[in-house]
Amino acid sequence: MNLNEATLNSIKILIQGYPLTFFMTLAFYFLIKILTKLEKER
Amino acid sequence: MENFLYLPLENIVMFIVGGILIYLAIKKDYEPMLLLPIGFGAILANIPFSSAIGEHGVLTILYKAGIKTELFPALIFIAIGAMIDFTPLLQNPIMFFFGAAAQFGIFLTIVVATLLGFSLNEAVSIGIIGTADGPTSIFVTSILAEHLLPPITVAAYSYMALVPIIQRPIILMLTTPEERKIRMRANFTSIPKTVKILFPIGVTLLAGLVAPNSVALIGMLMFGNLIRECGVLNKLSVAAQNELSNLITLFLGITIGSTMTAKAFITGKTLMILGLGLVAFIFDTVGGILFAKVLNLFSKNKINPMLGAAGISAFPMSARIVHKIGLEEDPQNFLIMHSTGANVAGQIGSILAGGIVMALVMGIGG
Repeated sequence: MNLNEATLNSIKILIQGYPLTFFMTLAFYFLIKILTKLEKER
Repeated sequence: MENFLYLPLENIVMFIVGGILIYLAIKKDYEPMLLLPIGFGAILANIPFSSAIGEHGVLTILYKAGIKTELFPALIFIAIGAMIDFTPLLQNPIMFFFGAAAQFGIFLTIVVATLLGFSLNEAVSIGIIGTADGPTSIFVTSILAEHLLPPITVAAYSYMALVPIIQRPIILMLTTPEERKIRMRANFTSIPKTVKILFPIGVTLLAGLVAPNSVALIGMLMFGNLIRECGVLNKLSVAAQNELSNLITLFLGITIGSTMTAKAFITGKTLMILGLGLVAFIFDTVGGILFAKVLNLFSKNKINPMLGAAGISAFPMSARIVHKIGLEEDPQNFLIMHSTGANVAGQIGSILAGGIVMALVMGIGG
């Protein structure tokens, strides 16, 4: 099956973009955890 | 009178489309604040020789000033930010992951759209319908595929209104009654004000550094939230939630409607876009639920997998439908706090996904 360039690029976006979205939310998760911890210790 | 003689059939079809949108808004209460102005704008734009559109037409001027410049979507996000209470998410930060998982439909739909012959920029704009977030859809589409703005906006807002109908069968299909009965431990920990203030600033910095394309949206969203939470700008917060929100929504709807000319709307692509938008919403829901199920394989404290479905941005419809199905299965199972947390996480996740996708497509050279 021959995939056109747009499809190949869209697969690239899927492979990179979805995990990156997760990675960012992971960062937000830790941001909340750190902020809450720091505030509790203060 | 001459207009009656020169009224093309496709314009009449657009009058009907506009009428249907107005009907759905008034009779069915489907996103009335958007669908009614869009429907009426469509009628205005399809009256032959309409002075509302064209070089000096008031709606075209609004379009150039507010949509082409991406001003309206950005401003509406200040209003949304001022309306959102992130407390349920801050109390249950694990819900953040559902806000990411439920963006799957965006990415899958982009691939499917290219397989159907759409260019990469068009496919990305179509996939973004899966953010379940009208302003993000408008923002991305106006940059990448402006010519598809009318059908994409209509699809985005229509499906948002139909979230309870779209999500219910998928949730029931992918979860067992036992899973739907899983109770979540309520966490009513009070969140310190400092955390509520630092959260929007931290999110803006983190998101901005990774996906600068998302700053215009996430920055405005978080700015709106900051004026809500800071405690010293109550007047501005109230103005953002009411006057700003109402005024921009009014202009946004009728301006989008004015782009729905017969020539732009009655094409084969419109039907495909409406179909692909539905695919995006369905696979968002599937992605969220399946992710929750995978988490449960490794977690001691089981998560109700329906919460994954609430990770889309359609607020508060998605949170409500999950809560409602939970109650139907077990009248003592109150999921609203957690589903609201997942739902507001979806609002951040969707903007983030939009920014990331734009960054990637621009990197590719789309």
